This record gives sequence, structure tokens and C-alpha cells, in this order.
Amino acid sequence: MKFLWNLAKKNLSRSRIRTSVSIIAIAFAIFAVVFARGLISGVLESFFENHIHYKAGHIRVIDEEYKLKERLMSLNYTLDGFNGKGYSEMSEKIKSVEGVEQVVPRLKFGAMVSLEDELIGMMGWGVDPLEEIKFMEIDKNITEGRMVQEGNKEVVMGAGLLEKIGRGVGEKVTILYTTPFGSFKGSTFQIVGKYQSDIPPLNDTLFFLPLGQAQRILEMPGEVTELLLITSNRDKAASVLPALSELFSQEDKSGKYLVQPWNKGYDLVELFDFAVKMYNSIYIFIIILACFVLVNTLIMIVNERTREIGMMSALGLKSREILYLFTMEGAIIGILGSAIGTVIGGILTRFFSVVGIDYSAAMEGMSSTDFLMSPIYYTVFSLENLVFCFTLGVVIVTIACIIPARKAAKLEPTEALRQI
Amino acid sequence: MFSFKLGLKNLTRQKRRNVITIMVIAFAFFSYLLMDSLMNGMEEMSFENLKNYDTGNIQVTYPEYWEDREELPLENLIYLNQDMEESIKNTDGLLGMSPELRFKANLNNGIDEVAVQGMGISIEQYNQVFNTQNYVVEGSMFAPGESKAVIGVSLAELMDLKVNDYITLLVRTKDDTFNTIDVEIAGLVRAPNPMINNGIVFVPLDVAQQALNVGNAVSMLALKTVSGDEDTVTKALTDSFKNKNLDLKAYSWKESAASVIALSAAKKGGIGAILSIVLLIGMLGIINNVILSALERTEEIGMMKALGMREWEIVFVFMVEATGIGILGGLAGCLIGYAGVSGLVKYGFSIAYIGGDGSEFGIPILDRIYGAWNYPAFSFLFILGVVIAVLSSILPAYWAAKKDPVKAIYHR
Repeated sequence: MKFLWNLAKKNLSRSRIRTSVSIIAIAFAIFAVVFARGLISGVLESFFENHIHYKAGHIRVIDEEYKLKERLMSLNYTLDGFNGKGYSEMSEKIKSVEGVEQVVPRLKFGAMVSLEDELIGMMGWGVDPLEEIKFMEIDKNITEGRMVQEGNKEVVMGAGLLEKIGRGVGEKVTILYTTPFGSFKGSTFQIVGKYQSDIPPLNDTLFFLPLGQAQRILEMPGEVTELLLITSNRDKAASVLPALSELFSQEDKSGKYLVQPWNKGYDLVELFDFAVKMYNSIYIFIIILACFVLVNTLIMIVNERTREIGMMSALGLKSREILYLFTMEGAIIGILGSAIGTVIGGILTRFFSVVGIDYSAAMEGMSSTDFLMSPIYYTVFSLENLVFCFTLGVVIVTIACIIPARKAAKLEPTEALRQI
Repeated sequence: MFSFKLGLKNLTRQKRRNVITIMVIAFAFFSYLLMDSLMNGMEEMSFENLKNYDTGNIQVTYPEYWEDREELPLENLIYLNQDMEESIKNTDGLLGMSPELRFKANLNNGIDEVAVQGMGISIEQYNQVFNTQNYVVEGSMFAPGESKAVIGVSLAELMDLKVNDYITLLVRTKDDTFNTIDVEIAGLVRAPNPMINNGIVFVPLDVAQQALNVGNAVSMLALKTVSGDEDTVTKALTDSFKNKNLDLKAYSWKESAASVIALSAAKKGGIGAILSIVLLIGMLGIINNVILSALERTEEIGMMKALGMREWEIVFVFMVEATGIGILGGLAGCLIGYAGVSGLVKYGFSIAYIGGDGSEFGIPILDRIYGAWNYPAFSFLFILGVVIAVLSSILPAYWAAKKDPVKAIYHR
């Protein structure tokens, strides 16, 4: 085996230019794959993070009906705990489930501010400030002032929203809303902070207030619209589900609650899953294309050395060993090419993971709050990606080499020796 | 001439190798053409959606309204008079004109309330300009004179509404007082444009005008022209407005499509990067091919040089060979590309089973994406392929031709 390996190495240096063109082709393909994967996982990462922070948590508990009426921000389908005992008891019980690290309550409702002759629509989130700081480090996004504190009549507003209503931090604002009983009311709050989000639609509509205040003004004590459960890692979310459903079947007699993991039942997440699959086939296609170049070279090598092969097999080299020899030659090209491609790709993804690629001009047209995506993409530099691409390159190249290598292995020694 | 013939002959010497290189090029072209067709198809469909269901080919309104049009204000409205109507109607190339009154409203079903866009239309004129009536899935569009409404299926589902149910639209009039429009639902539409399905309530123009207390004012006029005529008609309209001293302005649908255009430009950039890598690999394939041929024929080259062939003639031989591969690869790529694109144009590519609704991405498309023909892309690719083949062969051919004839013959 060692001998074959040495021979393969020696053979490759016989025509350097030929070998290097093949290596460059493979390196190119691998580089493209590393970078594309880095960029796409960057896009997905940013989307998933926002999706989890603003919408889904790792697992979301909602009323079954609420899912259909979410767009309405209806307050008629809320969580009032197990058998109406309030959400806090429920969240305590959920927290005791193995694997659940945090339970974040939210009460989302529609509200308005009246500005001279206009009403400006907003989205209010009653939140538990401490939980939000722990969950999505909301305090880092507050560029002016501070986060609200439980018990105080204060709000934090999106930067775009503040601009729209012409107020600043420290001023007061009167918020209009409809309670679940249909009465139209207003309350005045102190603006204590400015929230800067990189998602324009949220920036322009969202404000936070303490959960207790939201429940008080909406006359719905002990109720929230959703509970977000956080586990140690989003990939572990599914493993908590069995224990949760057991808890729910024990405690909850109405069966009206829906326990929804972050990656199920959201159109966009499923769409992205499909896109990732499609991209994976594009990567393989690119590498196969580059393999053609290499296969061409190997076919020529085999032709060139027909007599050598005849000689070697006449001297006792088995056809299986000849197959190894040529496959190895291809594999070495594959390894070298993949290594170069991975290094260059790694450097570039690292660079753009710091600098970022700005798409804000292109995203201006999107206004839906469903599309939770920041306009600046950072590529993800991860060892996993590099290792994956390197392995993919080496494996595909080696497999492709078997075709010409088999041709060499099948040669009859007598025939091969006679060939001119 | 001799070098040319020799090049052609050489092309048939290593059939398998050349076929593989041709395949690399053909595949690269094929994937490019398919992607390009899909992207263009998507763009074209979003334009169709915009033109046929939202803006019409041209919109006429006051510049002040146009700036704020997304806020749906009730200011800077158009009070139609004889003069205006004539100056618009007498324009050549106009197929229809639909006055619209767009307003903010809250749709109430007795339990929940949702913000929608109200749209006062005069039904006969609306049908001349837009295709919405072809997509009524239940009930029908309201007849002229009827005081009914038409809403999208998704909106109906959200609010639990059916045909013949009564809805209440809460609106604010021009004088800022609250008012309501109570109407019966005449029909549900499922148009290819998700905006119509999700958030628009159509009501008769006179009903809307009365409820909003705006007299006979409208927000804008949507005009239909033959596709492609927009620019000339826009110009003619602008001229006639100027002549009559009207402040009105005509806007082609392209101005509303700016964000869609920007988005698809960004996407094309991303895909272009991947495709240029694919084309580069094709180029490397050609370079590789020439190098391999040169290596194989070292003795031959030495012999030819010894017999008095000049270096540039040898380079030319290799260039002819590479060009042949480029042409064959390009032809093959365009042919299978043609087949693939025909399939896309005819059968489309379903996005429905993915479970997605394009509206959230700023792409107003539902169900299926169809490809579009982009003939210039074919000829562009073909020429590009040949040029790349020729260019990328020069260097390795020169490398082969430069060898010392004596050394080359003895293969040293």
C-alpha cells in the first residue's frame, strides 16, 4: 500500500502543469461551495435568530385558535393558565420540565397613537423585562434610555415609531387600545427608552411595556397571548416535546393549547428548508463539473501509461492494486484542490463574517412583519462548514476517479504491453 | 487554410476527451439558462401581477398624492371634470380607464377588527382595466348600481366571512369624523396577486365617495394600454396635461415596481456569482483540454516546427480546435437549455407544495412560477462560450508552440 502511495505521488509530478490545472479546477469549485454555504447559513442564521426572538421561541405555547387569528392580534384567544389559574402558575409548571431553561411570557396587542388628525397603528408587547433581557438581550438594542421596569407606567418604543409620532425619550405618550370586552380606552405612559432594531417593520411599529401594566390596561389579569419556552439549544427543542405534551395532557383538561416547536408550522421556515436542499444539489453539481476536468486528465494519464500498466501487471501487480494506484492519484489531486479551495474560501468567509454584505437597498420594498430579516448579511465562518466542504470535495473527486482507474485496471497485460 | 484543416481534424482525434469538455460547457450553459429563465419568469410575473391587479399600466394622479400614496390619504384628490376626462380619453393607445378611491378602513366582523385597504371602484370601468373578475371563486363581482363588496379569500377566511354575510368598514371621512360602510359580500376573489387576497375590500365608488364625504373625488385613475406602449402614452398624457394647465401627472407601472426590480437585481447578483464560477470551471475545462492535447502531441509539434511551420500557425491549430469545442459545447448547451426552458415556460415550477406564499418576500406571486423566454441570453451565452474558448486556448497553445523542436521530438 505504501508503495502504491509513493508511486502515485511520484506519478503526479511527472507533468506538473497538467496536475496543477486539475487542482485549480477542484480548488475553484470547493472555494465557491465554501463561500456559498457560508453566505447561505449566514442568511439563515440571521433569519432563524430573529424568528426565534420575535416570534417562535424554541417552543411556543399558544391557544389553538390564536394561530389562525394571529394577524388580527386578537385578544380573544389567550392563555390563562391550566384551567384558568393564570399564566404564572403554568409557566412555573413548564419550567420544572427537564430541558426548559426559561419561559418568556408575552402579551401582544394592537394599539394606536392619535397624532393631530391621524391615528398611527402600533403593536404593543407586554413583556417581563428581566426575562426579555435574559432571552434576547434586548438591552443591547436600546440605544437611548433604558428598558422598562415591572410595575412602572413606562414604555420603550422603536426608533422609527418615535420618529413617526414625533416624540423622544423622556416625553409622555397616550396609547389607545381596545380591550377584549370591546371598550375603547386610552392610557398615558412615560417613554423611557428607544429601541433600535435592524428589522425595519418592527422598528416602525413596535413598543414594549411591562407585562403587568399591559394586563392592567387591557383588563386581562393573569393572561398572556403566548409563552415562549427556551431550551439550551434550538436543535434540542424537539427533545423536550414529549415531556411537555405529557404535562399538558395531565394538567390541561380543555385541550385548547398548542405546543409548537420553532421549525414546525411556519411557512417561511419550511420554505427555507426546501431552499437549503436545493442549494445542496447545486453544490454537488458544481463539484461534479470540476470533476470532469480531472476525469479528462486521468483518462489521458491512463492512455499515456498503458504500456507501463502492462509491464506492472506482468510483474505481478494485481488489477485491484492498479485501481488503487489511479484512484489514489485522483484522490491526491482532490485533497490538494479541496485543501486550497477550503483555505481560500475560509479566509473570505471569515472576512465577510466581520464586514458583512449590505442588502438594505434591495430590501426596501418589503414591509411585512412576517419577514424577519436584517438587511445586512454576515457569512458564517465555521469549522463545520470547512470540514464538510473539504470532505465533500475529496469524496466526490475520489468517486469520479474510479471511472478512469477501472479502465486501467481492466487492461490485459499482454494487450497493454503491445500497444504503441 | 492548412492550419485550419489540421485543427478541425485534430478535433476528432480524442473524441472522448472532447466530448467530456463539450459536456462541461453544455451543462454550465444549461444551468445558466434555466436559472435565468426562472428569475426572469418570476420578475415578469410580479410585473403582470402589478399591472393586472394593482396599478394598471399607467396611473394618473397629482404628484402630491403620488408621494403619499402608501398612506392612503384623502387629500390631493382628483375632482373629475369634462376637461380632464377628455384630455385622457382622447389619448391614442388607451384601452380603458378606471377611477379609484383608495382609503384606509378597519374591517369588522363583530368580533375582531383588521386594518384593510378600501377600494372604491366603478365596476364597469374597473373590469376594462383589471383582470380581477376572472378570479372570483365564489359569488360574483357586484353589478353596477349594487351596494355590495368583494373581498379576497384569505381575508374572508381570517375573518370567518362568507358570501352574503354583512361586513362593516370603519372609516374616517375627509373631515376626520368616523363613519361606517355596511355592505353585503357579493363575491370572494382568489387573484394571483396576494395583496388582493389578503387585504383589499372592493366597494362601489359612489358608496365609498358618500361614506368618506369626498363628493365625486377619486384618488387616481388607472389606465390600460397595450403592453410596451406605456412610455409613449405616458408622454402623450403629460403633454396634454401641460397644454390644458392641469397639475396631473401620469406614472407608468414601472415606478411602482421599483422595489421588485431592486430585489430581483440583488438576487441576480447572487446567482450571477455562482454562475460565473460555473462558467470559470468550463473555461478551466477548455484550458485543460488544450494542455492535454499539447502534451500528447509534443513530438508532432516538434516535427511540424522542424518542417517549417511557424509558431503562430501552431497556436492557430490549437485555437481552431478549442473554438470547435466552444461552438459544439455552446450549441449543445443552448439546445438542452432550449428544451429545459420550454418545459419551464409550459409547465412552470410549483411553489405551492413548499407551503410558501410569495407575498411575504415582496414577490406578489402565488402557486406557480413559470419560466420566461430570454432569447438574447442564448446568443449572448453562445458568443461568450466561443470567445472564452478562443481566449483560454491562446496561453496553453503558445506554451506548446514555444518548445524547442529538437527537445520536443525527443520528448524531453
